[in-house]
Amino acid sequence: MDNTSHFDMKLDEFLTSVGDSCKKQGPEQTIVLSSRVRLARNLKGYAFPGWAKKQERIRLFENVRPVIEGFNQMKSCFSESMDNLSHLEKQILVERHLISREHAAKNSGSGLILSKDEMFSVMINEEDHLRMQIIQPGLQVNDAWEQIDQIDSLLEEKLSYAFSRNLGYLTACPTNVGTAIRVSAMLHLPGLVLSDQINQVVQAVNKLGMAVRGLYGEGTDALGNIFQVSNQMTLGESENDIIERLNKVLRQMIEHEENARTMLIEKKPKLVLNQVGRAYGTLSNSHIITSKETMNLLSMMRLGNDFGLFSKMRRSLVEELFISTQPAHLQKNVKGKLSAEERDLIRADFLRGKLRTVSRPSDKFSDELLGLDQDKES
Amino acid sequence: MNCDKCSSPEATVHYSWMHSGLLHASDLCKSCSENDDNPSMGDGRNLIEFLNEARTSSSQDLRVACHESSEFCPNCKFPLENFKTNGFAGCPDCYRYLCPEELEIRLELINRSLEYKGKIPFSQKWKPGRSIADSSKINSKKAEDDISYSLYG
Repeated sequence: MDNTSHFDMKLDEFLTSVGDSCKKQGPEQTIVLSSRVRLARNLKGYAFPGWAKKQERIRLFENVRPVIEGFNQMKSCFSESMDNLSHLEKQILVERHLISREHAAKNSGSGLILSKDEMFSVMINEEDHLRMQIIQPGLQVNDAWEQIDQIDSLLEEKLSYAFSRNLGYLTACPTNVGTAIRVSAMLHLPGLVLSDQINQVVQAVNKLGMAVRGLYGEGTDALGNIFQVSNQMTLGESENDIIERLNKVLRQMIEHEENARTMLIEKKPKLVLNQVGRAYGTLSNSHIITSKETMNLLSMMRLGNDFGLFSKMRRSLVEELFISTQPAHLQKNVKGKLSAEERDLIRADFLRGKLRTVSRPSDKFSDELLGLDQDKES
Repeated sequence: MNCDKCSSPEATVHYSWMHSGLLHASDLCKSCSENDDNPSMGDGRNLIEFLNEARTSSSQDLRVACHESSEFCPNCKFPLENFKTNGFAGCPDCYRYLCPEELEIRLELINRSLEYKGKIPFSQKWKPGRSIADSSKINSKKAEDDISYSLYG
């Protein structure tokens, strides 16, 4: 292990602990982990970041930064140029979904401004001049849209947006031209995966013009049975139409997941008990474990918790472990740069420690869950 | 964005499917998206065929010839040919000078309609009685007139 570098930064002091941030709960939290609305905006008179020269990007960053920092919502915000963030800090931000993987590769002339509550963030000079997002726990896309719409309107008073009456907001890539909005929700769908229905659901959602992606967006796997569903179209519909349509799709997906879970309990209870029991056994007893295996097993623990198989375990613990066991979060607690093999050892130690107080899962479902109470009454 | 099958820079169709417990996703060009290898809808139709039918059912023939347009954006000097190869524009003004048919093809493949129905910035000076719905076709001259000007300008 290399002991020449260590994790020492003001970002670490700024960010809420993973445990506390996972305690925030929202509607439909059992299945919907979070909702996000992202707007892309560009300024008239500047080349898009991918074509602009470094000095032009820096000039834009320096002009825009104080405008955003000046808003009431941004009091005590975190604001930094990307070249002042270490690789590790950037990866932590990616793992918390506060910046994109693409933005993590940016340096001078690009930046991040993050609100104190970490729900609102603006990436400056990512693919577009501004990429701002609101993230809320649970299913709250309407609320997220209302909030970001207000901020966007305030920003518009200070900045000159590139806008065409025919095309809407102009963006670096035409796939975003128009409303330039991306509305998404992160769904935990183990029921559909275990019952082999996920493919049908994903294809049906595709047909409705929605994209289904993995945990970290485009080009990533659906680790931990977590799927990101978002709109694709940005022309032909208003923002409210897009949100309403996505909400309908999400409601359908929630219903399908709930039905799949009910079917699993009725038809394949042993399959569920086996998956949950094995997940608990492996996570609480391993000495070497990869990030991928951890995510997939934590998904089963979360499902078991939803089924009431773990007494006294709070759901937020599993969500905390989803993030805390990611490579950069593990790295930040350790001096020196860890290799992947070293991380697998530390991850296993960390999980054993965290799960020490969690009792093993019940080996049967409650009568209430099985509907036996109702049978008795009738 | 490059096509996952033939590497052409014209990938305009994104789709995902599950196989062996893993989520797969692909970005394809129009030609490859019509290939029979893509996931079936179960009714004999190829998924991408289905998607393309849905997306283009209300639009005109997309196989329109690209008319002559500027070689470089006069504002940012972006070679407009690059738009064909990497799919990105150089600056907001590039949209004035891009070949309108080329842009239309791209936008039609992503969206069901080209009509802008979204938020209108407060700063936009709208002529009374005019609706953005009046202009559903992209026209370079119109677009030139319509590019946003500064807030108080």
